[in-house]
Amino acid sequence: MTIFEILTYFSIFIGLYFAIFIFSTFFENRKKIHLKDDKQYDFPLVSLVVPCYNEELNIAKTIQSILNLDYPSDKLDIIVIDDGSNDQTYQKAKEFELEDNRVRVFKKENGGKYTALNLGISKAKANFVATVDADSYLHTLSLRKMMLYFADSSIKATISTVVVDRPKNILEGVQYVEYLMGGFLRKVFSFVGGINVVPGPLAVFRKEVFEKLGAFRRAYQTEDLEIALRMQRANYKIAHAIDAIVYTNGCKTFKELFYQRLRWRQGLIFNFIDYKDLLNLKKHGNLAFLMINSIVGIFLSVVIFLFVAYQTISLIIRQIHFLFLIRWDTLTFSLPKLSWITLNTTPVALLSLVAIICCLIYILLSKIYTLNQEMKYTNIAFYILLFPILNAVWWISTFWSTLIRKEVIWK
Amino acid sequence: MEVNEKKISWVRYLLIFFLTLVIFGSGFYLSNTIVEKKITAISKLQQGLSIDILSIETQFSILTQVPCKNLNESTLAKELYDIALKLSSVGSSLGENNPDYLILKKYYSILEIKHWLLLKKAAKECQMDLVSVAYFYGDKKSCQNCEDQGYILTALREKYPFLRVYSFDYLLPLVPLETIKSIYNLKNNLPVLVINDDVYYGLKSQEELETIFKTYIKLNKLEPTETSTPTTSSTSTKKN
Repeated sequence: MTIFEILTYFSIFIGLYFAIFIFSTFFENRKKIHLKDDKQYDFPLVSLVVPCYNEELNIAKTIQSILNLDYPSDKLDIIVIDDGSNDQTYQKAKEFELEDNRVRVFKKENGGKYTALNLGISKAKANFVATVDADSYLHTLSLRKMMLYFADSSIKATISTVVVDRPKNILEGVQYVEYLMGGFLRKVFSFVGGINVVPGPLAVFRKEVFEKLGAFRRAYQTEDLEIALRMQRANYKIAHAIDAIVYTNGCKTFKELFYQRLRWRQGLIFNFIDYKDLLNLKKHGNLAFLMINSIVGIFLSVVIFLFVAYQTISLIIRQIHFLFLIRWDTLTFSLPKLSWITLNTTPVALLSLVAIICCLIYILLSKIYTLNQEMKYTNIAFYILLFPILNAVWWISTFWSTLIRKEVIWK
Repeated sequence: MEVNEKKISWVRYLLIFFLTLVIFGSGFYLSNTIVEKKITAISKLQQGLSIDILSIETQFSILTQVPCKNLNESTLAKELYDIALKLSSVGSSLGENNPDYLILKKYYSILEIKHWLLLKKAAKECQMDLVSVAYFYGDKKSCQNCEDQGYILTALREKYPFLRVYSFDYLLPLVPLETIKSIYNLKNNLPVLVINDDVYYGLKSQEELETIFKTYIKLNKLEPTETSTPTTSSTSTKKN
């Protein structure tokens, strides 16, 4: 058996173990996936903080989506923080402030998203603070569904499910599936106390989180990851309202997506290093297991990708060499007759098929439980084909950037 | 209400581990079962082909008039190539040195030899314009050019309907193969091609092979406009 085969089997085993862990946890808690809406529930006042920087194209739609929320209108406190934009963001937000006294707009010098968030929190009137990305649009029921979780006093934060807004190209389609799958997995993680990120597009915190644990930090430009890890260190519970949907703009180009992922992954590496104590299985149990699993998964996915890429490139070179041998006379070749005997039925092939089926089940469950009806089969196919490649390329680039200590800048 | 429970349940983790092992093991078991079924299927195909070849041989033996009209040699050749493809797939699954695979391979080689002999007889009795190539190959260690040679021959086989290619593993321990090697006095200088009855050593390009074929086949079968007769390769060694 070659090293490649051993690694492949090991990867499949780890992947399979993880899949069974997810499915069994899901099955065990399937009746708790959604919280029933309680008409009698006394929804509290929520301060929604919207940090923005050069978001003149999106800010109006974002504020409007907050104003359209199916939530008691007198329980909304909307705080827009312009982080030194040099476009019309401030003016556009101000128009809402003039028309609606629930909207307050502040402008400050550019200092990064976390500084804008912290200013917003300091201005918050409510005991609950929702952070909203300025390029995200809230589903009318999202906040309502999230706030229901706070009936449990031990819940310190609730996260939403992020959905890519109307994907128009293949890349956005791939992100659409990825985000939904992420939503499903986070829901399952929430049952075992394993959430390690509070996504920026929409999350609600008890204000006491910031009072007791401190404000948002720069955290390698991934403040949403750091705050989750800080909360986990303090054993604060984070819930996930899987049916609370927030729409966000997907990256439209490979370049845009590449730099976004580079930033996220660099943040993940550095924050995991800063919070390495969370890897203690005895102290942090399931969370530690999930974090270790993701670290092992990252390395295996990169190694397997490199092997497969090497094999594929070798195969292509060999085929080109063969074509030269027959003077590119490709017409001489007829396709071989398909037969079950010639199908690849090695253990690797069969177990890889099981892995693909698991992936499809994740996607199906994501579609069902996020109550999402718009997932296209083409997007699923492109996700399965493209994501492993993109993911590995992003990780390799991240390792390289991290090694040469090049930080991806994002305001 | 949802409860975040970080505490690990080791029993649960262990159960998942065993379940993973079961599924993992099932993958291997299923793969093994399918390969066994493939072996059975190929054996049946080979037996069927063996009967077909034997039938034609018998026809040749008992009939005073040679059954040229009803000779379905090309169909048999296609079946032979088809089995080769399936056999190769089983070889990839089981490994080249697997005893079950080696038995199938030996049986296949015998069928090839039978078909080769039949073809020669048919070509002679029925005046068929056919070229037979017995191609002796080795593994990557013993023959670096064999993969290229195999690819060229496959392409030519697809291109020219008059061509029949029989591939033999030079190192396969099989008495009939040893006999052929001894009849043609073959050396371990792979790849070796026995084209009709002439032996050629070393890698032969597509152009070289086409030139060689022209010495056996009417020129218009290859290129209708060409009239000159090319010379054979310098590495050719005529059998006696």
